[in-house]
Amino acid sequence: MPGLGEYWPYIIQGLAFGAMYAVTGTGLVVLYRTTGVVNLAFGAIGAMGAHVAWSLLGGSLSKPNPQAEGWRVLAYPMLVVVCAALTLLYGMWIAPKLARRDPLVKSLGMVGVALFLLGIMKERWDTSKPRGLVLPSKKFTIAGGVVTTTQLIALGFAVLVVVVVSLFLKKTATGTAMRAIANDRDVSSLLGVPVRRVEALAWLGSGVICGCVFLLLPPLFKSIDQGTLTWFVVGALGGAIVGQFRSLPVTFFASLFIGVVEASLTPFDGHLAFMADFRKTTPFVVSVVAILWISRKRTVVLAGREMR
Amino acid sequence: MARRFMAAAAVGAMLLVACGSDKKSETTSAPATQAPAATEAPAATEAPAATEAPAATEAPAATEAPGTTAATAGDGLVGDTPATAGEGCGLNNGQKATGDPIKLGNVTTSVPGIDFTTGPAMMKAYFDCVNDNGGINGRPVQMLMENDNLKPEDAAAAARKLIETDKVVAMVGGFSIIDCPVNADYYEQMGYYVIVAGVPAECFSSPNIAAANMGPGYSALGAAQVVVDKGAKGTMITMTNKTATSDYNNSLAGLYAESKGLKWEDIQIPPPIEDANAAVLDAVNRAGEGGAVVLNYTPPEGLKILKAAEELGLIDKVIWGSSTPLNDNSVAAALGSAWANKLNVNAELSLLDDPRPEMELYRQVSKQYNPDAPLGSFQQMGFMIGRIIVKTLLDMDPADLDDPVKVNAAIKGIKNFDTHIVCKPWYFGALPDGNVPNNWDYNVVPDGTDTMVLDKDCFPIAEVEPILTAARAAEKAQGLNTP
Repeated sequence: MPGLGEYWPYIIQGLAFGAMYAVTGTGLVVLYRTTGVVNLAFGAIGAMGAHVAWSLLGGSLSKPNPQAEGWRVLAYPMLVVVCAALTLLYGMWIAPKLARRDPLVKSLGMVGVALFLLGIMKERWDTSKPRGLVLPSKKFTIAGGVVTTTQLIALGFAVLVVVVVSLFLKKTATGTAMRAIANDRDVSSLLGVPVRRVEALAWLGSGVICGCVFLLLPPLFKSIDQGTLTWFVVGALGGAIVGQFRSLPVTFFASLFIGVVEASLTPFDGHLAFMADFRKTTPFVVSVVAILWISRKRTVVLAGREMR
Repeated sequence: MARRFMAAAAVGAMLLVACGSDKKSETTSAPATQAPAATEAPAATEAPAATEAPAATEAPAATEAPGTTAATAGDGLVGDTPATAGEGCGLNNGQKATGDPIKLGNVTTSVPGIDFTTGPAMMKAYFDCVNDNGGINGRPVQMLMENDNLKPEDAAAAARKLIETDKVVAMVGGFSIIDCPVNADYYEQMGYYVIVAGVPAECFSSPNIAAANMGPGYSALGAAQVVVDKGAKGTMITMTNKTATSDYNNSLAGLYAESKGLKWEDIQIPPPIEDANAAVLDAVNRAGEGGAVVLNYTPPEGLKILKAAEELGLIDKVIWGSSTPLNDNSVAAALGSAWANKLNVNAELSLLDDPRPEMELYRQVSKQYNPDAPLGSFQQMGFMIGRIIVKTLLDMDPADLDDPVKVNAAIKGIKNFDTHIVCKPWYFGALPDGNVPNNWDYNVVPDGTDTMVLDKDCFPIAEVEPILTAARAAEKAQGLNTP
């Protein structure tokens, strides 16, 4: 078992991934609270945006990690635009048709989108060859651990998103409308809240967050591997579940915790080497423990609804 | 309702993570146009690096040009002798093949993180070229590929479908992690002699299976030999995907390391790798300064590790090695100058810019019939298997081409198949303990731009287990790989 000091480099890696979980979780929570949809296509939409950006950057099999030159730098904002457009398109075109259906059906609709996009990516971009989306990055050392500017930006962005979204929901009229819809869609509509427009805004916001996350995620993954990016959202669900799909601060800290635990399980060896095999289960284990802890009072509150 | 939703969402999400890609069946399309036109001579490569007694880890010195490195020698290495399969594709007559296709099947793995379909794709490209050039005495070749989805039940079903439903006359060009262990007994029972690009141990321990490659086990062993030659000390770490057959992948490299007094640890990570930084940090920490890390990954996964090592400043902490899959120019291009001469990739097959005729033909066919694919070792394997089976079929009585018994007897009898793609002539063998017909290798390194260049010429893979020892004895006794 490694010494405590040896964990520091892993904690750095874990914080960066935890930050990405946190931003993703924030996007999931806000959308769920407004529309009742768990956006399981978050990763697939981001992966599609990353692949489009890779192509716009001039990526090819002989240039798997293209650098932005000249007008091609527009590929990065285009990634965000693609993610926002795909998400908004779904939110305005398909989501209203499922608005009155069971939450399970709504979320399965997103799974359909994820599989559809995954199929397109698999056909269009051969999965057997390497592809990466790089951002200009510098590295430096903090207490013996190498830190990159991408990792710092990831952490800073996560804090920024959580703070801004929290303030937006509390302080603005649109945020208040979103919270009202989250509490009761029908009553909000009767009270004159423009439900469709507010929901569209939530979808758009989720898409923009998705695009920003997937600007940062490929450099952390060193790849735009379709499967990895698409199902990244599953790990991010852990933080959102701990936050009961309601609390952004809890989602944020739970996500960071999950990221750090995941990374810290890596260096175990000897008779504890098996711990490393369970890294990927961290979000699920944390979620289950959180649900058990919450339900110890025999009442679980999810998205403002009490379950007994 | 919310409780039901949450439970279903969690279960669904976990299932989705585990789900692989769609089962894919691919057939050859109608033959394209005509025989590939002559292309330009391959670009000259830089002088390759030193081969003998490589010292330490510094950039090796230059020796001769790659084109001459595998030449002649009295030890049976393939040199400038004509390729057994001749020049051009099949009959090379420019006439399109017609009539009933001759069906050839294979089982291949394609899941997120492990996609081997580039190999069969190149074999299909060669078949397309053959079909544009007279086919098998006028009949086209058709490739049927089934994805095993890395699931034993799918692999078993795929082999049975191909042989019993699709009536393929031979199983050739499978690139699978589980086909051999799942179907070796079935192939033996059905009398099929299968040519694969093998991954697990069972591809090298069945008399009914022979591989064009030497698989991750022997290839990682070759990489281990090189990093030890280059001065690795202390601990050798090997890394690979965690799958049902992973324990074999690095076991031979481990035996070799331990025989040389190094400590060996094997790290297996479930694919796809998500946190490459943590993974490579762990590997290099365990190897220690001056140790070695040998990778056994496909290019997308291997590159994650290597780019993470670059980001964390770990390149010069250890000596790096890799099995064959990273011998791919797209890997060299992605690595760039930071990795120049610092990654030792075992190459089971000749250099991608080798100027000899069979490799020239490979590049021509790839350019015309598989233009989206880069040059790479998996593609070379697919091409080589295509060359072997087409020549075997062309040498048969045309009346016997629909008879699996006679086709498989012909496959079983292949020996001394002279190709410019591997170090020594290829044979099927059908040896009782298993076949390892490709057991001499090269070592290549990235040149810092976009090419893998020769670092060490053909060298014998070390005998650390009985199968290769028995195979070498049989080669000598039966003259199986004499040019």
